[in-house]
Amino acid sequence: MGNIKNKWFPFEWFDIENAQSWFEDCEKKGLKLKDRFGRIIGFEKTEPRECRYRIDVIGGRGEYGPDTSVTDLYAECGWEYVLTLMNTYHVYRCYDPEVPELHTDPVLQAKSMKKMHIKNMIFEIVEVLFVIVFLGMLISEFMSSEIPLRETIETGSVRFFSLVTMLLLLLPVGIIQMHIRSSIYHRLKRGEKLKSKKRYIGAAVTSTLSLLLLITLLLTYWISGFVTIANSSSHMLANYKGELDVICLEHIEYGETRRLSEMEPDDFKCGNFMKTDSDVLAPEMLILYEYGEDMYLHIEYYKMRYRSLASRMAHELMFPKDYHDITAPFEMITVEGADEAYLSEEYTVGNEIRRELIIRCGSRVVSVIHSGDAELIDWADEYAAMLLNAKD
Amino acid sequence: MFYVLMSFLGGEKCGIEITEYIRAKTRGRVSLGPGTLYTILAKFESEKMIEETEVVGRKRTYKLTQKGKDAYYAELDRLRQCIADAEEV
Repeated sequence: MGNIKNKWFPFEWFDIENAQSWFEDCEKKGLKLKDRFGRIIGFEKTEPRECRYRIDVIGGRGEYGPDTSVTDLYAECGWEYVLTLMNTYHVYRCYDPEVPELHTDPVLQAKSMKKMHIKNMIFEIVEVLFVIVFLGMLISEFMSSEIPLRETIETGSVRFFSLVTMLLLLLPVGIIQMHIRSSIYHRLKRGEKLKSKKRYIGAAVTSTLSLLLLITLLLTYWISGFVTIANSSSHMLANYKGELDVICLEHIEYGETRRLSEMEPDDFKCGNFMKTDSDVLAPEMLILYEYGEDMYLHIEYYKMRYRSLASRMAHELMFPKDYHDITAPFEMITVEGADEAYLSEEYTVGNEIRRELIIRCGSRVVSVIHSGDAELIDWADEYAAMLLNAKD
Repeated sequence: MFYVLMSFLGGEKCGIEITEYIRAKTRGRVSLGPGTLYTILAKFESEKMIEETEVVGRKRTYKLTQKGKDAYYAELDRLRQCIADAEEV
């Protein structure tokens, strides 16, 4: 292990000229190219030597390097195969200065790179399309949002600016990449040989920085997405004056809960938002709903650090919940002292007609399902009292 | 490409023999790298102008086909014609 030194590969994979020069300079410093893992290049510490490194694309793509017909011929002529970068760029080296260059005819070399050049062109077109689609998504998000644009920018500023920066960064990076790739190909096509670069710090810094910046922005965008959804939902809830179940359904669609998003509005029997006592938990985090014959408690959390709080809240909500079969005129229910009460419309489970009462005091919730036999009115007061005690 | 075809006129050859033949024939004026040679050989092989005859270890030997010979002599005629045209000036 001590004999190996790992280094970050600081160029774009297709930046052949800079990469060749970098490998040669490493060899001059006593670092012999050995293997790679992703962008981490492993060097073996040896005596400093003069060595030519060349990167070639002949031999097709493959996990195990170029075809043996290529490596055999190259080896016969004095060029040793070392490793392959990105399944495409095969690295060879030669210690004998008398051995002819790997490619002596730039035009033929360009011909061998033609396939790769076309592939890269397609990749660049896809990249541009990706940027356009992304931009379209950004615009449509603003256009379709019920929240005014100014507020969207305020509540989701991190996401918004990371998106815009990412788009603005992707374009010049794409253009630079396209320029480097095309420049190498077209110079070869014109009959110019590839040069040995003496200074490649600029290319290395630009490539590494752009990659790191892109990763940072993607992470920022991903994390800030959760924050933005939570913020937007809070805004929606704070301004809501109508039926709770409607908010809940909208919210679920907004939260892209796959299972619920498959439900039709008519399938949605009952829903409720649970405002918690804790300021740490976002109000939109907890949703209680019933679907079909089974009761589910569904917990949504949009901020990853709230995962444990959400599961604790789920636990607290589950245990004080009771179900009873009762009969009573619902208009007579009293829930004095409770923070909130919600009475669902009638719905059918099998042959049974049901309605549901949900009472909330603080974070305590009781759901009472009526199926036509017992006195709901008596139970309602009892539950309200129980909840108030629990709250105290 | 012409010199590669020419190198096979003397018989079967492997990669290094081809490059050495060309260097000697041109007195060092033309030097063929293995990358360039491979591109040419692959092209000739796909066009059935040469064919592989033997693989011993890392050494692959090729020989000229009739189509390859025809192509060589056609190119030779073309070059002769070019020189004749030039000498007429």
